Amino acid sequence: MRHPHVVLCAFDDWLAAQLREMVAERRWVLKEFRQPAAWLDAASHRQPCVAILQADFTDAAANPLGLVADLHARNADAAVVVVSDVKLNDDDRPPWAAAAADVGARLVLFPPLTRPVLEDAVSGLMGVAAGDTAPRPESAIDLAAGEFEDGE
Amino acid sequence: MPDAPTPRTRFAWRSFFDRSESAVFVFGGDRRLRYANPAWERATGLSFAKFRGTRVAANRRSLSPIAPPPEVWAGNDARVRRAAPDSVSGPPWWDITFVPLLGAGERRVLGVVGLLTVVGPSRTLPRVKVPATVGATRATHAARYTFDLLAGLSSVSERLASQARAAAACEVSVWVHGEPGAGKETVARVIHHNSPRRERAFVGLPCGGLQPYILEGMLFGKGGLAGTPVVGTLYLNRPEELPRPLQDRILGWCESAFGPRLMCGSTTTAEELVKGGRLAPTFYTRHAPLDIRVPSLRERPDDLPLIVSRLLPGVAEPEAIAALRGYHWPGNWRELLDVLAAAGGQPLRKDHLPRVIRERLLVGHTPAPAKPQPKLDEVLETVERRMITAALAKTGGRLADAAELLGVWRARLSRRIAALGLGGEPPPEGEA
Repeated sequence: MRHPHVVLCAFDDWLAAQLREMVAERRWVLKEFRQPAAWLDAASHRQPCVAILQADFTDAAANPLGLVADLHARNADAAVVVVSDVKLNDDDRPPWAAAAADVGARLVLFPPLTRPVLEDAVSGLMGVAAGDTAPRPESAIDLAAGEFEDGE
Repeated sequence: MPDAPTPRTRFAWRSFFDRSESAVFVFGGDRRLRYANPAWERATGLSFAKFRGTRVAANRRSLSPIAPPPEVWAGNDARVRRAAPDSVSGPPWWDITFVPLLGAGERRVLGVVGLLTVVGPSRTLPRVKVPATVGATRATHAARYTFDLLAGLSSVSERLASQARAAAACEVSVWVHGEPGAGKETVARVIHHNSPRRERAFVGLPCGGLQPYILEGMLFGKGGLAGTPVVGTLYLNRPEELPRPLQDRILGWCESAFGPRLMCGSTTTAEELVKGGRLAPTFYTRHAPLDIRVPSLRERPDDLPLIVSRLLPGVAEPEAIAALRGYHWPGNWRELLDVLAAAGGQPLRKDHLPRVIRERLLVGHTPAPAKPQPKLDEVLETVERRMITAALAKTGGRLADAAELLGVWRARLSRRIAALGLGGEPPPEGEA
């Protein structure tokens, strides 16, 4: 069961639709849930996992950050992405994003969401979770390499 | 004789549009704003007096949202929906209908009339403050990160715990390094949640996986974390993976008045990464005064019984513990947690373990005996022997040159050669 999983809890099919193509291309598994408890159980399994939770921060009863904290306690290696379902003021975003990160979220996304951003976020975090981060092109000249080495 | 002008009825068109609740604006053929009514000012938040006569251009941010598309200047009607400037991509949006005014009998555009309608919810969103329940959730979560998580029976664990205590007592930056899966972020969280900054948030960023634009947006974008003092500790996992401009920008934020405490985690030290050119030198010179090395699991086999008893209930089978101690744990904690997950919350038995670990037990594998602690004299003698041998080899066996190279008198070098039994009898004076 070491196959990479994208475990998603959302109110509707929109998020899954954005990710379905990428997940299929990479031969990962996409598990979609409507019930937070089922999402929590699925994301708690020890496997490379990106767990996406769609959250309505205006719904005090839902307590989405409690779910994130529970998941982080059960499986700290699961990369949790919280996707806000509501658009917040610029002043309200940092406290929510910081609180989510404090209890274990890796990334907090606010509307408007676009497919490339979702795909980049999920693929990048899955790379970390699966331990195969693809090297990015160096942005700095390596002065210690090759002909720049001292004494050459 | 020219025809007499057709008598016209005087029409107060300006007053007509000024009283309208529909937002109307007019561009002249020279693409300059010629008219906009008060409703347009209310909808856009712009002042007509300020922009009267301003030429519209795509690169002029103030008027670009109401710029007619090219087909309108070619003489065609157009209806567009654009995000209102403050909302980036909406809502709210602006629906704008552009109608070109064509000259009689020609395709030249004399001007463009625009009708603007605001679509979507109001630009002022209701405040959604973080409720007290979230504070309670954070406190419960933070309470898990005590120094006991790091403590153990081995000397390396004790050292780690004492270093973490020292780091929690101050607010300087910390560089945490260790093998993948060794628990670097856990160490950083323990330090944060026991430090004076624990009321503010711990934000951990995986720099190696996320695209830089996502990280930059999260920190410095609209409504980003860097705009407010909510972050207490910023933990960068593998900061060397970030582009250099973003490294510098993060450092600037951390050094600002309300900036967070910086902690970094990597597989190697900041010094090595700076030498390799992969990290901004400031990370080493100013942000790595405390360097904490997290030991790998195979360096602390004595801690395994304690760790298993913390994670699983009951008493583990001694054979299972012996098998765990005999394994080399290339994946460190992460691998151990995977292995213990197979126990399903039951006391650990050897049949819970994967074959690769059980085999260690079946073949009677025992961990390699610890190497005896070398004596100081032995170490010094070995070093002395190697240095003298190297100096003699470099100088072609000439004692005087070798003594100069080593910074000792020739007579002393001769005595040490004899005492160490190097090269037989020393050559007579003057021959070297």
